[in-house]
Amino acid sequence: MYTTTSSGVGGSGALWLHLILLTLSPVLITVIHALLARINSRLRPENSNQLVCLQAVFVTLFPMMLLLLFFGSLALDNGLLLSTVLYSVVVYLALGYTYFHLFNMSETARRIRLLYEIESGFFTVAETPAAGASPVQISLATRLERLEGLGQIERGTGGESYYVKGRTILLGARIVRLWGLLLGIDILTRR
Amino acid sequence: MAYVALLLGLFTFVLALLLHILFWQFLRPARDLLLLFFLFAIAPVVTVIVQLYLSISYTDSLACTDIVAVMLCYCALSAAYIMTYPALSARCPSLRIVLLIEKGGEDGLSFSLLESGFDTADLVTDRLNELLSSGLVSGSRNAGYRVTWRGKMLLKPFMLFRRFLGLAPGAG
Repeated sequence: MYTTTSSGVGGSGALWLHLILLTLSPVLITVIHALLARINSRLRPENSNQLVCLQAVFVTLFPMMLLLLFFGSLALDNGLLLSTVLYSVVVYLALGYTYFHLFNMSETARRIRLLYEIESGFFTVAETPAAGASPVQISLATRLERLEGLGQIERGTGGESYYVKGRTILLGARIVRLWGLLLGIDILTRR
Repeated sequence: MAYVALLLGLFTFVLALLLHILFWQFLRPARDLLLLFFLFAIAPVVTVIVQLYLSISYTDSLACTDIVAVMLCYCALSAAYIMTYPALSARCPSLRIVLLIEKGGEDGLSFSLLESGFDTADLVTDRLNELLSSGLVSGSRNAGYRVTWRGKMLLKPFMLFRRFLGLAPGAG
């Protein structure tokens, strides 16, 4: 426990700093993300926005770990260094994952998009808008393009069929589906 | 950082997940996200009771920084899960697309076959109905829709966030 083991140079003050720094890590991720997103906008072709977000989470991990180790080592006995690193990595990655999902919501969430469209005054629920493509086709095309950009699917030589290329999102989809079944929700059917 | 902070944080998170599975097996309410928040809010109460028991039973009680570390770990894991849950409850189209393409096997899956797996309700009207029922949008198809002040409160931070990142509104 801290009361008995925080006998390092900085004591509990450094521990508080350690925890505050960890709590504020999403702020640092946001700043790094803003920087990387601006660099990405000048690249041709641009990387996927979601990929840039993930890069921001992992680029921030290194300076964060150095700072956290510094404060951790000030406060704790050497025997607790491994548990400090483990704790910091778990909490940082959980916060980073939360940040990625928050960004993903702003990027892909249909509810946020609908709110934006209604607020901007160009929302239509028509089955077939004037442009010719239905909302389903537009929505699917956007998602297919995004998945291609992330390297998770690819088109065949004829360009008509899609194939699974990467395994990351497929693995995630399988886990989400299994977890959903445990909760009584099947993402592939309407029940 | 003692292992106890990580272990108690994980214990509380697993406890919340178990409560979540139990409730969803027997009762999945229409406003499921609200109940999810509630379940994840009450789970730490059990941990606090365990901590109190430990502090009474053993002289070596948890320090204030320990308790904060446990709660930080729990909140970080819970936030990660709660942010993932909408992808499940709203049957995330991107995940369904990947699973459907995988089902296509060596022949792959054409756009038209993929399209047959989705309808407007999937991608637009269900989400619109959710916005209407949660009071984020008001109006009707004939009278037109309006974003309520609650909807604006939700939308504005997202728009500011995107602007800070130097990005246009997301494509949905």
